[in-house]
Amino acid sequence: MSETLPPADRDPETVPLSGGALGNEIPEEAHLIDEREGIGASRSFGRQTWDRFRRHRLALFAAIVLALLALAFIIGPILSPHGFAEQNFMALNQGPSLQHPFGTDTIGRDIMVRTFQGGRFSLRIALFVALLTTAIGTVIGAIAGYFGGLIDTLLNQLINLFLIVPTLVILLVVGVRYGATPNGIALMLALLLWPAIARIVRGLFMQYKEQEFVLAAKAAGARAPRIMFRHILPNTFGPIVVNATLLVGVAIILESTLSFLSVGVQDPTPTLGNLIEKAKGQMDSKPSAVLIPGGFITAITLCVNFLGDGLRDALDPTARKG
Amino acid sequence: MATTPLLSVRDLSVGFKTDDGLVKAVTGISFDVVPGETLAVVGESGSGKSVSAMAVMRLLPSYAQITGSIEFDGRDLLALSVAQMRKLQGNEIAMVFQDPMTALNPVFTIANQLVEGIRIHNPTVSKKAARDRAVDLLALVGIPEPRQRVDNYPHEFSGGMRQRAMIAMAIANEPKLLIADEPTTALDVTIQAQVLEVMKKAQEATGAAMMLITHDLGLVAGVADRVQVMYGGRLFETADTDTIFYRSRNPYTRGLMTSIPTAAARTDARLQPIPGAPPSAIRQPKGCVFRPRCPNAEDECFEEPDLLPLGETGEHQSRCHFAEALPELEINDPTERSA
Amino acid sequence: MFAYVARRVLTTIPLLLIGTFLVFSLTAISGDPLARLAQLDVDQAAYDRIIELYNLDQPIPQRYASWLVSAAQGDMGPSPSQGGQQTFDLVWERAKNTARLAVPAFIIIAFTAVTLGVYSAVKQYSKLDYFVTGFSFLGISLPTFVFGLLLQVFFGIWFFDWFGFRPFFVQGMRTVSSHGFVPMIQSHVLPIITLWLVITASESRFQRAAMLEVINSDYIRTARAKGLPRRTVILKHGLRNALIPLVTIWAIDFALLLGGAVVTETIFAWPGLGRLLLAGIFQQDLNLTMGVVVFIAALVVIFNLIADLLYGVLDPRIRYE
Repeated sequence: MSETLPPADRDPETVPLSGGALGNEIPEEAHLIDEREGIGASRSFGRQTWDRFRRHRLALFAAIVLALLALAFIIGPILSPHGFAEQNFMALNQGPSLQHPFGTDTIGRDIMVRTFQGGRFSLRIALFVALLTTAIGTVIGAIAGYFGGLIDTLLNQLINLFLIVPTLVILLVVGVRYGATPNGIALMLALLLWPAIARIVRGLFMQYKEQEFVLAAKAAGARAPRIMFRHILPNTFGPIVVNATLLVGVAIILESTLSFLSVGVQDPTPTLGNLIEKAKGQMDSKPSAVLIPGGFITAITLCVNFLGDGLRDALDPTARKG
Repeated sequence: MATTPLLSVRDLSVGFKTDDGLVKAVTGISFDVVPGETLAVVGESGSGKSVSAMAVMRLLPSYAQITGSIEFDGRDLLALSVAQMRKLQGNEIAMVFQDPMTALNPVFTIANQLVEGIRIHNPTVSKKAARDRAVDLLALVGIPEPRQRVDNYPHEFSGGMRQRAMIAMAIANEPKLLIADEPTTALDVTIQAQVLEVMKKAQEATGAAMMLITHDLGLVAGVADRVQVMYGGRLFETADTDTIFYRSRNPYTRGLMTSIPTAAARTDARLQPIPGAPPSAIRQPKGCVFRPRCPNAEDECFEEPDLLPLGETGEHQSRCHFAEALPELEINDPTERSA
Repeated sequence: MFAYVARRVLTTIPLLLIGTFLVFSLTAISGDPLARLAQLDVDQAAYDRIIELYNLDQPIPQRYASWLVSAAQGDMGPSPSQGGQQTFDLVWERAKNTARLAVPAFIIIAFTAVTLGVYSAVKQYSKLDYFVTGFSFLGISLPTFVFGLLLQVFFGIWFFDWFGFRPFFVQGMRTVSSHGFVPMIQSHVLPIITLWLVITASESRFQRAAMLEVINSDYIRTARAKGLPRRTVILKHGLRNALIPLVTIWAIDFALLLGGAVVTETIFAWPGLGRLLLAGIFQQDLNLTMGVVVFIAALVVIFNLIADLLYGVLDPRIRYE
């Protein structure tokens, strides 16, 4: 079951061991300070971020591929002469042809349009999961980190609970009943994945609440919600965006895994996972029907992970990976 | 300086390639260390003092670009193979680092870390003998009950004791050159004098020459034979300790002095920080690197001055267009502080 | 130390109770076993007996309570979907099959993850480092089932087309006693590779990060300044410290491997715990589902405890009083 442990949950860089790994790379003496008068103004944060990101060519490339994939998933089904649930009983279980470039399935549906529509559903689910998970995780993590106490203890115990009863087990149990629709499975995933984000946000809030600018805001009489969301939250933006990005990959993998185990979204709604589940019985004669959606899933997660990595370099320079 | 130098650094430059361009940490410095003497290298952080020490130890990361020459006891250190250099490290040249809290490996005992250093350079020494030597070393640096404490882990030592253990480790093989990089900076003020005392004692016990790197000019007065002041990766002034304190011919050195509480008290002057911050190692100001902060800066200073000898012996050198023209210093006796 | 262990075990009990109750009730509400029973067209007496046997007429908390009472006495109950066999025996039997994959996979994973992570950290930004980083990105991004199916397509179809034979079995478990040594190996290879890739990818990344942090630490510089050979610096001073955070990861991964790999077992038709769990869930077999879940939870708790104790051995700064 460890095979689907969400990477965001154990990504080495999002769980700092202690301090930055880069640390002593450049000896302390060689500080890069940009403060001299008349030597050119220092670049703005946004500009620096963009520069760092741009240097990460792979991430840029990944972003482009991802955008193209999304575009294809949206336009593909519109341009296709076939509907994704449309059955053609004259063309059952065909191999690739001009009319059906990826072939047809056992009940005569065009696999190409189903793959693109499936990608669309998978991506939609994943984006929904990433947004919802991040929202829930950020709010709860912020409260736990800022106030500590009972909420913090509960969060910790909940994280321990999900360790003892692995997420996948719960997903399987719940998915049998509630995972059949795209929104159901997305909601289910979000409700189970948020503790990972909450833990990261909690750590950041615990770290920031002791810093001078927060103490200063407190001394100036700012109330807790204002301090949390006006003063601390902007500082946690980088790691949160990075993890939200990585969550898209986690969600795609989990959704497709559940679908593969026939716990997820049910026919006729296609997702990349249930297309593979449907096609695996005929793998001997038509391996492409398994490999193509599998390739799409891998391409999406790979791009998302590269993108997340690039964003981490750009948005969170202190946590720059070695 | 009639003796042959133990360490002779010539035109040493160190740069680091980074994403933001080449960071020039050290630019063309030359200096000597003669056997048995103590040379203090003083400067703010970013002045290149630690980097030059690390260059001597050959401990800089591989992407550091080092030019010039570093001659130690007749050998060109930069030309030595890694294996040859290893024979010198911890043996003929040893180093004490700044932060004793992190410089010792947390998972091995003090004994383990001392014995390992001794036996790597003296493979014939038995474990038992090396351990006895470790106990003696701890006694020398003033660790109470060394026979018991030698089996402690670093976290069972206080900060001052850890630094003592670091010193013991550094002098274990009686080095000819001991490099101490801010050895007291991370310690409590009350402990600093003790540790400095231990350093002196360790130096005397082994007869090593010492390169004491510090940002605290006040610290060097009672300890160093000679002082060299660095700024922006360059050597700004070098002379014997008295000359630096009484007859400094460099605005930066003088600025450093008026920013030391004790020295300032002697001049009955107000404590004056040097305005501004040290230069970026990437974009250094045009001309003299100290120009933007210098109270004496003139138009000439847009041309970089050379490090030029003053007086007859030439042992006093200063990098300033106005080295000769600066007014005399009016300081009484700053050295009393650490006497 | 004993007190520490006792305290640790005691504090996990509430979590175990909550966790099992959660899974119990979620499983119980996920479907109606009586409806399934009705389809089977059994007579009224049998129907009543089954209701009686599994307390199906009672509300969920009471059913959980009676399950818990027998479970606490070591009786996990019979499994209706498996012809009424004892759940405990079923789980134990399948656990052995799962262990056939988990143990060798774990050994290979631990070894390769450490080697790859350490090498790429030590040779940061080298070709090897980029290769390892690329490998772990691919491994993290490639879903298990896609990789497993790819292996099946490759060895089961393409390899056969090219060379006329299949070097490995793509389905099913074979043991020495059932088929002999070579078929045993042939049937284990692909599932183990599948488990290996996914877990090694994330572990080697973690190991690399841990090792990088250690390599850049002051005590490594001290060790180098002593003139120690590179090997000693990296393996003694570096690895020894970098392994400490890995211990927890290992514990969790090994526990989860032993708890059954649902996807890998499904792909390779391996009669392990993962498929047993799926069977329990799909057939709304509460006793069976709970049996596997309790087994996994126990593994996680035990291995976490072992990891904690190992931590104390590896890191002298930690003391359990």
